[in-house]
Amino acid sequence: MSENQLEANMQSTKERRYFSQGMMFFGTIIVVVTMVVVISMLGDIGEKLSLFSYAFMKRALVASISIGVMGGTVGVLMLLKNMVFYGEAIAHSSFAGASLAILLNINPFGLVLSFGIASAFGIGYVNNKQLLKNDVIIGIIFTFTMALAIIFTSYFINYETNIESYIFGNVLLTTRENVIVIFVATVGITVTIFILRRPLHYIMFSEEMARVAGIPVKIYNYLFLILASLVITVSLKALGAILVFAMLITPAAAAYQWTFRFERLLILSIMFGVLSSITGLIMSTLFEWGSGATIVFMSTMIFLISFAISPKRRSKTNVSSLCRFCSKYVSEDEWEVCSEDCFGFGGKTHLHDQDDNIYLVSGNSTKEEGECDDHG
Amino acid sequence: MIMDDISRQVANLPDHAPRGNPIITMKNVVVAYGDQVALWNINLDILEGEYLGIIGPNGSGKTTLFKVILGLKAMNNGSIQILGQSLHGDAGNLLKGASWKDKIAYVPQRFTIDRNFPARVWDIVRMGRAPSHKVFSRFTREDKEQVMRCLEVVGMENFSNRPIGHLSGGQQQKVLIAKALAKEPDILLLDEPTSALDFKIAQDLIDLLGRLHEKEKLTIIEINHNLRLLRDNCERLVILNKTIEWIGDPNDPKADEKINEIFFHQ
Ligand SMILES: Nc1ncnc2c1ncn2[C@@H]1O[C@H](COP(=O)(O)OP(=O)(O)OP(=O)(O)O)[C@@H](O)[C@H]1O
Ligand SMILES: [Mg+2]
Repeated sequence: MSENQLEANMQSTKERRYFSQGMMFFGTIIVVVTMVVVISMLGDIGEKLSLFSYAFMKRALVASISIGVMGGTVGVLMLLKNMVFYGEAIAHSSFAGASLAILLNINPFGLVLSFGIASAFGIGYVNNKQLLKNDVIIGIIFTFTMALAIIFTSYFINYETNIESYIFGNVLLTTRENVIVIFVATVGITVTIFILRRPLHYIMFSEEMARVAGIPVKIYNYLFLILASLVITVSLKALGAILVFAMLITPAAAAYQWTFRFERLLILSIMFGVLSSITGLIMSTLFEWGSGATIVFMSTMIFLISFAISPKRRSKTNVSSLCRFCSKYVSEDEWEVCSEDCFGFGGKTHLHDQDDNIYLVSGNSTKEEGECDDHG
Repeated sequence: MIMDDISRQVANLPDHAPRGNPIITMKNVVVAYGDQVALWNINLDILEGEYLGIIGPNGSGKTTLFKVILGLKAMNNGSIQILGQSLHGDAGNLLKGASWKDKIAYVPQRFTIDRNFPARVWDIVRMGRAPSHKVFSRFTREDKEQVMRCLEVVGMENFSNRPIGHLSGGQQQKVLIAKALAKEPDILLLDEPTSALDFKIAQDLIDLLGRLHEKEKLTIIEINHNLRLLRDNCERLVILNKTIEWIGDPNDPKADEKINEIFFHQ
C-alpha cells in the first residue's frame, strides 16, 4: 500500500469511527424518543398533547428547555471541579431565602439569590483556605440553611402559603416574568461559560498551574459560584429545591460517559439536558405525572443508557484484548502508531485501529495483518 | 562592578560561571507555613541564561522556593524581583496579572490527574500557549506547530490524541514538560522532572534540557535529588536546607563535602 492509500485507509477508518460514535449517540436519542412514543400509545395522545397549544404549556416548555441548557453547562463544571454537592447546599439555602421572603411578604427572588450566593461564597471561602474538607462545610451549611428555613416557616401564620412550591416546584406554574428571568439567565450563563471555557478548563486541570499561567483563579472560582447559584435560584420555582440538583448533575454525568473532549462534553451535556426537558414534559402531560419529577426521570434514563453503552467503558474493556502484542488503548478519533515504545509485534512499527485491525508499517508500505480479537 | 565582584567571591563562582544579568533577585526571603519556617533568609541572584541546580533533603524547602518565585506562596519577609518586576508579599497581584507570568514556565513535582479528565495530551500541551487562557485570542497555525514540535521533543507525538488520564506517571510528566516548553518561556522551573522517568528517559531529558539551554539561551532552574544528573548540565549548584548552605560549581569537591555533611551528619 502506498502512502496515499495508507492515508486514505486512515481516513476511512476515522470516518467509520465517527460513524459508530454518531450512531451510538443517535441511538440514545432514538431509544428515548421511541420509549416516549410507545408509552404514550397507551394514553390518548392527541387530546393530551393538544395541551401544548396553551400558553402555560409553552412557558413550561421554554422554561424547562432553558433549565436544561444552563443546568447542562454549569453541571459539567461542577462535575469536573468535584463540587457537585455545592449545588445541593445552594439549593437548600435558596429555599431558606424563599421562606424568609414569604415570611416578610416580599418578592422572593432577591432573597433567594442572596441566600444562594451567600452560602456559595461561604463554602468557596472555606474551600480556598483549605481548612476543612469540602463535604464537611457543605454539610454544615446545608443543614444550617435547612434549619433556618424550618425556623422561618414556624412563624408562618397561614401555612397555606406556597412554600411547598419551592421544595417540589412546578414548571407548569411558571409565570411570564419567571420564564423571562430563566431565559435571560440561560443566555447569559451559557454565553459566559462558552467564552471562558478555555481558562475554565485550565483551572479544572490544575488551579496551581492556572495561577502560574496568570489566570486569576480566585475570580473565576467566585464567578463560577455566582453562576451556579444563579442557575439554581432561577430554576427553583420551576423544579424545586430537590430536583433542580438533578438537572445539574445527571446530564453532565451522562455526557461524561461519551467523550474526553471538554467542548464536546459541554455540548453533549446541553443536548442531554434539553432532551430530558422535552421528553420529560411530554411524558408528564401524557401520564399526568409531576413535571419536574418526569424531567429528572428522563435525564436519569439518558444517563443509564449512556452509562451502559459508554465508549469509555467499552474502550477500557478493549485495552487488553485489542492486540496480542501491545495493550494499547486506541483513542477516539485517530490512528495509533505503535513503534519502539511497544513491546512485541516483532519490534516492528505497526498501526492499529479500534476495530482490531492491525497494519504492519515497513518503510512506505502497509500490510493488513487481520483481526486479532481472539487473544484476550 | 565592585558589588558584582563581591557577590562572585561570596558565591564561590569559578571563572567559567555565567556572567549574565540577574533575572530573578531574592533578598532576605523568609517563608513559613504557620509557625514552621520553610525558608530562612534566602539571598540569591539567578542570572539570565544560566542553568541552576538545586539539591537538598526532603522538606528542605526546594518546592517552597519555586512556589514563592511563582507567586503561589506568600513571603513572610524579604523581596523578589523577577525580570525587573517586584513580587510583593501577597502571593502575586490578582488583578494586575503580572507580565512576567508569560515568561516563566513550571513543571510541578507531583501531579495526579483524574483518570477520566476530559482532555487529550494535545489539549494539555496546548495549555502552554497563550490563547488557552487569554479569552479573546484564537489558536493559530503557529500554536499548533509549536505544540506538535514540543510533543516531538519529548517523544510523545504518537500519544497526542490519548486522554491524559490514561498515560503512565512518567508519560504524564513528559507531557507536562512539553506543555512548559510550548510556552516558549525565558525561565523554566523544573521540580524533580526526572522523578517519574526511567533512567534512560531521564538521561535523555537531561540531555535535551542541556541542548535547550545552550541553543535557546533558556534560564533553567532544576530541582533534582540526583546529583549526577544535576552535574551534567548545571553551571551552579545550590545546596538548600531551609537556607542556602552552599552555592558554587557543582563539580567542586566542596559540594560533595557539604552534601555529605548535610545528608549524613545532621
Ligand atoms: N502546605 C503546607 N502546609 C504546611 N507545611 C508545609 C506545606 N508544604 C510544605 N510544608 C513544609 O515546608 C517544608 C518544606 O517543604 P517543601 O515542599 O518545600 O520541601 P522540598 O524540599 O520540596 O521536599 P521534597 O524533596 O520532599 O520535595 C517542609 O517541612 C514541609 O513540611
Ligand atoms: Mg519538593
